Amino acid sequence: MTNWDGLTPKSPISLDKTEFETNILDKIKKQSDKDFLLSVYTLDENAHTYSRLNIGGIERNKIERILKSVKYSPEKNSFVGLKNYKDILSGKVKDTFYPRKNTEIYYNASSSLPLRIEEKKATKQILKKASDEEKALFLLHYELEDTFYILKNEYNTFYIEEKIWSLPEYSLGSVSDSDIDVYLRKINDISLAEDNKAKENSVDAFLKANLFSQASETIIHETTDEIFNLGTFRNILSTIWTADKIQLGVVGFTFFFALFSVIGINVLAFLLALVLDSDLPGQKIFRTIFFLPNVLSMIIVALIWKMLFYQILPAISGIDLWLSDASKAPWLLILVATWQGCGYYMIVYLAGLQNIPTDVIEASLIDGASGFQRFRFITIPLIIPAITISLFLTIANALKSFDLIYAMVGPSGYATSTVPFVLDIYYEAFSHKLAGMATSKALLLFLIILLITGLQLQVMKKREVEQ
Amino acid sequence: MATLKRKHTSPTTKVVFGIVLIFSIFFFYPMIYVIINSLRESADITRFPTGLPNSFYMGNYIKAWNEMEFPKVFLNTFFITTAGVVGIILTSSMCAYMLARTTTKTSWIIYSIFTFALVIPFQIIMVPIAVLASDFNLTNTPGIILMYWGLGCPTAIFMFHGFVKSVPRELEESAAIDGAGRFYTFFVIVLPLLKTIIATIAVIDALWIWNDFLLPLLVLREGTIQLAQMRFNGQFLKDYGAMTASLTISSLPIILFYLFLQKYIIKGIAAGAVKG
Repeated sequence: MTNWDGLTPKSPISLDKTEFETNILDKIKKQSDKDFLLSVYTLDENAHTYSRLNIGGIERNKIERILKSVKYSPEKNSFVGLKNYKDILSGKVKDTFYPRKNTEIYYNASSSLPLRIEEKKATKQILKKASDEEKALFLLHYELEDTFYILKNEYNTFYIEEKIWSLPEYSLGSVSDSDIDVYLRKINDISLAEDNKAKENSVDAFLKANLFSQASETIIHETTDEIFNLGTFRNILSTIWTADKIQLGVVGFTFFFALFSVIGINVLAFLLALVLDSDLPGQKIFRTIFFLPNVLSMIIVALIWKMLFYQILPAISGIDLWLSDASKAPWLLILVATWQGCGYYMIVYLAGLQNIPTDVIEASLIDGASGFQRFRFITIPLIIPAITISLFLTIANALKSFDLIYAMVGPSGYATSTVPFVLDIYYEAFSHKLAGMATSKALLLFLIILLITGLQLQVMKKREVEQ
Repeated sequence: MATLKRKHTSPTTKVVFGIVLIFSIFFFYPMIYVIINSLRESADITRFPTGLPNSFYMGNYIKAWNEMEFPKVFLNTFFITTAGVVGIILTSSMCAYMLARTTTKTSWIIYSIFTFALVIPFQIIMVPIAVLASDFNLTNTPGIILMYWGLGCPTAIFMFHGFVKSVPRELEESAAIDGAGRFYTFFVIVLPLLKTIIATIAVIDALWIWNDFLLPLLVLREGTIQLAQMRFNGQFLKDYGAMTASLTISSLPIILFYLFLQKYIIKGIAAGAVKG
């Protein structure tokens, strides 16, 4: 509940000379305390500060006690009450903490029109949202060829501008390179501003400043109009062709990761247990293999996969970005968590399956139950205790995950929205030096874990059957 | 019973076996990849990531061994783990024994406090722990061992407590009649009866402490295998040969441990799950 950063010692390492003398030394009544302080703080005249020697915890406590007795308390240690909690809940913490909407812009009006757009993308991202008028405008500029919308040549700025560059005046040298260049840029800007008057003015100025033949003047007028007319379309396209993407933030990612890794781990573990519970040859070896990742530390697991993601996957798939791609990174982390975790819960499910009394199964066989019926009405109800405990452990562990993501993505995870709660707490406390805020977040996480696992136990306990 | 067992040669079993086999190869591939590449030169790996070694190149291992200061960090981790496990078992078994054998209200309250600590995840209290550790000068090897005792004892006490209750009192009573003191009774008569649960707790805690990363990161900053591995990763990020070699040597001890004590590990997990 304090502002204290947790790492700056409460007994200051260095103090301003005047502050130390007037605020502390003069107020101390006991001479022995004064002597003690002067024995650990040495004056550095040049820097005008007192600095503390490197001392142990007991001496530091003594200093704290003395400082308290003279009511000296630096701003950093002040009591802030529930401020941290209020800040977290009212959204005043850095916005990477919360899920938030992010508008992604696919086309920027100031760049030239894309030459081709994939049909799928165009339908999904442009045509769906466009009004009939805008749709007509789009189809006027682009035509469908195979799976691409191709920009028609008459609307391609490159071809339009080419007409001016091929004027005889340019090749004769009466108009300079830079003159044309400046003019075209100007028209470009004016077209985006959709300012008709400015267009007229700059055309007139351009024609006046240089000598053109009658034919050339018409061409200039025509091309200027063509470029100018494109401006409207470019503006419209840039406003339509956007997509709202949801950034998960710390909170969102924690839940996202927990949900899918819990599903992944439990489904895979249950399937493996079912398979290994039969008379499969070599099941001991399989069990050993599937459990092996679980005995490795998360750091080793993370580094192994990190190498795979940076080495093998780009080589096999030809796609370079894996862990640094915001759309793939969360799924890759879930994959690794599943790979590492499923062995443990496979053992839990196996124990549950082997606990099913054989007489119940025999009875069902005599009653003529099919394999599926036996699974649905005997295996599932009798294995619910194992499901309960596995869900409980996986949920709690997934909400607390740290090592794996620390080693695989680290601080760059804020960019790809792959920072879980605990890692955020760690950075808050030890990189941003906000121990107060970090512990507040930790307590909130604790409440979240209690709430979710408590709810899950409530729901599952109701479904358990007494054996 | 015979009707329950399917024949090994039934076609479904064969298909299932095939699927599981293929899946397990994919599953195991990351580890194979690490071992194979640890025997190749880094330049070769960068050129053909999925290739096979031409010869047994040991340079990576030498580099990893020296750069990680492997003998030093291995011994340090080994010491922390052993001292941690022995301490947890000694303190928790004694504590649980007394708590289970005294029926006063105080002992019930103490037991409740310990079991409540089971609910609190380490990650929630890590910041205060790190701060307290530096206040009490515990940012060293003995300090972290002490912390492991504290962090490990709630689970251990909970498991011992349940087990001690199933040990018949008559044995202790007859020992007391023969004139045995409290300590003698505990160490000579009760402790040997707890062997199975001790093995379970020892194996689970050893895996936990050996593989722990967060607490050493907060408290020690360097000196355990996990921390050395992480630091090595920072230095030799692009040196894939050295990286794979270091990953191999740092996971080898724990894999051997697992292969030898597999029975206890699996029993421990199964027992914990059935009880929970």
